[in-house]
Amino acid sequence: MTITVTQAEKVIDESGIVAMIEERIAKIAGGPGRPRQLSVRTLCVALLLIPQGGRSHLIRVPEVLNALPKNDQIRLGCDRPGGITYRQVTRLYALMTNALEIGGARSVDDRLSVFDELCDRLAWYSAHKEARTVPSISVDATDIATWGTKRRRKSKKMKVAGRVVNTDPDAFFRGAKTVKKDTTSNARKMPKKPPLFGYEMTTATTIREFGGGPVPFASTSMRFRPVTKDTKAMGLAVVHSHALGVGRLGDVIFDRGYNHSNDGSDFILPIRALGGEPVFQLQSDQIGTSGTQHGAIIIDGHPFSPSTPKDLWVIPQPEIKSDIAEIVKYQELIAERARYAMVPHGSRKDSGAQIYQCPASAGKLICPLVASSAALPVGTMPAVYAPKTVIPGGVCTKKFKTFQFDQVPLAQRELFGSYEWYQSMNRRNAVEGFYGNVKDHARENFRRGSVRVRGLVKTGLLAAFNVASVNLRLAAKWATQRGKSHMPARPKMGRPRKTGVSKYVEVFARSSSSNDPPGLA
Amino acid sequence: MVSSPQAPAVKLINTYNGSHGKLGPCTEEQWRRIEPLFRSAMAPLSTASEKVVRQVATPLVRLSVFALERHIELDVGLILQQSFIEAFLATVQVGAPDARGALRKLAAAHGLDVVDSPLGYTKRGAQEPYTDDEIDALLFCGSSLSTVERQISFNALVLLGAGAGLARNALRDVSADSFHRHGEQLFVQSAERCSLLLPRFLGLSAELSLARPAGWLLGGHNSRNITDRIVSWSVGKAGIPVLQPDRLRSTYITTLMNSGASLADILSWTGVGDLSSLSPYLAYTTSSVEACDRLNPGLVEVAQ
Repeated sequence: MTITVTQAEKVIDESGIVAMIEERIAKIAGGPGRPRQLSVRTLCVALLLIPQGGRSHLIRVPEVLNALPKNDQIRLGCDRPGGITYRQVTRLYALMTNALEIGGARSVDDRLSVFDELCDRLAWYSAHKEARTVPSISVDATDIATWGTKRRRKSKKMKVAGRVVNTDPDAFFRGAKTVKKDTTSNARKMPKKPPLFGYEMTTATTIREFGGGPVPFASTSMRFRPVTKDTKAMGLAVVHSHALGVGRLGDVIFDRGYNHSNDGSDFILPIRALGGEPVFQLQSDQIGTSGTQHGAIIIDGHPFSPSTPKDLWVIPQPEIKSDIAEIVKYQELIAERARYAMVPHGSRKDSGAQIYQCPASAGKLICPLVASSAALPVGTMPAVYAPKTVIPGGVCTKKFKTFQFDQVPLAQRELFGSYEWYQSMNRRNAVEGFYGNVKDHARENFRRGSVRVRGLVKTGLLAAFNVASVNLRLAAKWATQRGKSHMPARPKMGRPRKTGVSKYVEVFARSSSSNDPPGLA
Repeated sequence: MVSSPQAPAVKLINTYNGSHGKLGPCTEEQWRRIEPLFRSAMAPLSTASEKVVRQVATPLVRLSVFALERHIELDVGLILQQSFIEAFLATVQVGAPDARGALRKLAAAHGLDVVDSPLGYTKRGAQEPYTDDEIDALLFCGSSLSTVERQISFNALVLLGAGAGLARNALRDVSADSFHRHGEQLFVQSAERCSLLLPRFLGLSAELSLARPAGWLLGGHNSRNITDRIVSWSVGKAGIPVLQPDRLRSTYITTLMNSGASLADILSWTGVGDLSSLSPYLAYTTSSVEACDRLNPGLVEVAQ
């Protein structure tokens, strides 16, 4: 096993989840009874250990605990004669998961508030210590199919459709029709999400800064919900948790699944309010022009000079898996258009407002409306479509113009579609890699079949322990890589050293007379 | 029915195809978009010579490709703007034929303001003339080249540039027979004009005429880049200034101006179109007091 019992105990103790669970159990339990032989702490340690075997079945818990060395068993309090039984495990697991749900709550979020905090703590304390200081994250969700089923059972006698039997009432069904219809030419090629009966796990995964060095790879926050639950709310929740833990927020990268509103009110603006810098993909209907602000044309969410050629207003983005030549061609068009883009001046203000500079005054264009641009080097591209008349107070009358937070909500630090934007956006792949680790057949293998419990909290609690297990494994790998040199030394090439030669040298190097026979010194 | 024969320029404008040739300036697809603009833009040059049309055609196609790549509408008023031409020229590889003059000529034919543009582009300044010592150094360099043929060609270039103000196309077809006299003064006849030979170079002209009595004085009748080759022979030699035909011509013009030659003579001998073209050379003329000192009988003879 990659994770030792001591490491698992340390994470469980640091996270404080045992106290949380026992407090909740005390609230729902009747009165004082016979002391439990299997403690909550011991069960949590075991639940953190079993994903290493690739199977998160509860039946593995007694196997793992009973196979521990005696001193570990004594320390964990599971050294009773006969060992820990499967019944003890299932009963305590059911008690824990029941306790983590708040009864009588109005919404799912209220019902799972304690469970959410437990998931966050497990993820946070299992992450590498350096990962807990990384401000930039990537947010995404992954499908988790439930072990339960939802089928219509036929009556054998009647030979007609019978009633629907749902063995996991917490899980929901997502059909292919819930995928947003895309109107671009590439939409037909877009793979639809497969139908799913189950849940969705949302995590915040640490990523390096744009242009920065590597950072430890870990998920620091997690949410577990039915698949039809609003994904954006879960995304915001994990971003908020990460920001609280680190104390600040850097880049937050997400795909177009989180960016449905053109005004950015559902996801982008809340992230900016938290101090984060969103990096995201645009929906097909957000690509192209979307009106004007202060005389500037808003293209792909960014303000552009009114002298931008019309042919460059709409540049369809190729599909992600397109041929590299097609993507390069697209980036060249974006670079051509970039000379007309207004240039962000300074960092974003606390109010969310951003100052933009006219491209002519920034030295990218020669414009007859900007006197200073006439002094630019000969050969600078002219703004041949510069407007004849200007709007009073607009971008053509001022060197700098402030755009309020809600005027260009979809503007990004790197111009959407540019080479730099692709470089920045590629950091999002880290979160996919994390899910790959969680579901890897050779590792935690968290998927339907290796988890055989039903219910949101029951499945979700195992998911949280699996995420913690991946975090611990990745932290150990990071420490190993950092402990040695980052770049392993190359093996020496050429003829191996002859030991006889060194012996010969020793003879001459010693202080005694060189005439003495070898070995005399 | 007999059709009237078209002028060569008109025929060239109507039959030109930018996508033809091994190194055509555009692709066939681009030509389909450029062709309407090309025909209409070149129409004002239909009365010009075929040579002028050829000089303008390729830069215009390249300029149109530049506009297409930047998604600028193919409109004569837009792409022949001075600033746009300069932006295009900034992307042209160094050493390529100078398209600035050709495109300005086309813009002028369309009535566009090419000099006093709103962005204040000014004419290029003149090259600095060689000093007497530098001319001596160049002639010394020429006489010390490895072969006699090279020595003749090199000194012929210096002679025709600094002694008669010939550069570029005017150097073609000049041979030993081109030297002739009007009265007591020696002149050089080129394809474009008849130029006075400065007295300093009289001896050299006699030597070169004897050394190469037939063929181009520069040599290399079949070579298109004879000037570049001659220039390359002096590159990197210690104490020798870089040989530039434009500087040689500048030397000739400033010498005439300093000698007090009449404006009519200067315009005639140098082939300069108007007085404004002489303005850049004023920066290298001596002051009036110095000019007075120089108005000695020897130079007055030259001017007359």
